Amino acid sequence: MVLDLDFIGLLVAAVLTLVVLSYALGDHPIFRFVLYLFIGVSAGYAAAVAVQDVVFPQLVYPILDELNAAPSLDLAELGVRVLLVVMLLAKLSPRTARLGNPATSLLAGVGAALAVGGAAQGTILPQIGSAAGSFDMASFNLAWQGGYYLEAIEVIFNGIVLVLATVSTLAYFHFGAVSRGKQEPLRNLLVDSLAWLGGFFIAIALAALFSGVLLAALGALVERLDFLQRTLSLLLGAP
Amino acid sequence: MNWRVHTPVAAAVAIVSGGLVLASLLIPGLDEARNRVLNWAILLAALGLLLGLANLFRVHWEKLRNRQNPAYSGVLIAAMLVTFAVTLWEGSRAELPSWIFNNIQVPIETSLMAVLAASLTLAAARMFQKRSDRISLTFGIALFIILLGSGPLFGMEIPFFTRTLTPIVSGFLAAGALRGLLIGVALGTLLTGLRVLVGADRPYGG
Repeated sequence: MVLDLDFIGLLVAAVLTLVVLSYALGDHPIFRFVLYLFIGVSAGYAAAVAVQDVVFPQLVYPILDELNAAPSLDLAELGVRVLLVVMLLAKLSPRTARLGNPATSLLAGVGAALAVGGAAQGTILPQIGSAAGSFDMASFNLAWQGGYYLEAIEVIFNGIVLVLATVSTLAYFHFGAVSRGKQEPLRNLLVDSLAWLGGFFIAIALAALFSGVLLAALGALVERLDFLQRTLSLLLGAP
Repeated sequence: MNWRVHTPVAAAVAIVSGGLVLASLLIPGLDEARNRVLNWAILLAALGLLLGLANLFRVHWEKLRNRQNPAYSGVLIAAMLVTFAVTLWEGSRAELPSWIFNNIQVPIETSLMAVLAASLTLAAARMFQKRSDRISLTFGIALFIILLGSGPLFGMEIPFFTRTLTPIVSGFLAAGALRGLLIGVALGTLLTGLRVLVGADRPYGG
């Protein structure tokens, strides 16, 4: 058996896997030690990638090019970048933190615009389109004209249930109520009924999400146990 | 110096930069200006990440100096510095950074995901112990149906669950509710984003 880097890696991975899985029996110092190791490695990796892929090509190399009289960016653009970076660095000290507000506000503004665009174009419009298309009219017409009335009614029923699930889920999160003087504010009866129904649909949706995560976690557990078994077989020299 | 001067400047920067990015989604010809602003935002986001990580380093350095759980902070700092130096020096796809990624980061991540199976099962059991209202009952029944119909159980398939009941619950009833949840989340995101873009909310400290 040759002690090469791959073999050491296999042993390290197996030990780390065992330590993390042992958390199922209870918290212990070695598990915490591994967690801190994980945070350190992740932080170091993220920092290096950020420096290598963003800070160097967007800031450091253009400055070096400028200093070497071979500019790769126009001076105004470089000036804005340097100014924004200096402003952000001003956030490091509480005394100068306010000077950094324009830099963080640019980040917030761009982030908000991307979130608004993404929410409208990526979720609201397609989801409303899908909800509107819940009634499969082509299938309904085909079934109705062919005399399959039960199937036609089923198409309509499915559409009604889908739309009801969507609307009642939204109603569940509607907390507007009419003021009634000194009495407790009262929610609209229709909204209240829909919200009651929405509770059932939300519970079903959360169960679907929960089962998805649980099955993924079980998949990871099976993969780790298989890895441990293969590593043990390798160590014992089993075929 | 009057610090209040900076408040409208910050709000104006947020409104103009956000407005430009949003307008570029609707009006053609603004691509170059949008890319320029996006590049600035990416640079600031990367620097923000680095500042956050520098703060993490500082906090644990202080703990190490004050001998508050020094072993944990020590391993965090050592792992952070070694990974940062090796990845920066060799490149993220080189042999040693890949070794660290594949033999330290991935096994811990996957094992944590595996431990989640036990945690989730315990959490669900505790929920049924402590709550027995209509929502938790619906959740429990739906979860039972979905899990039983997700695949063979001890090598046996229960066709009524796998082919009939589970697709109705997970693919039909849950789909409508998930659509409602998605629309609700997106509406919330839209509203929060618009409040930032009109300057009603100023999370940047203005």
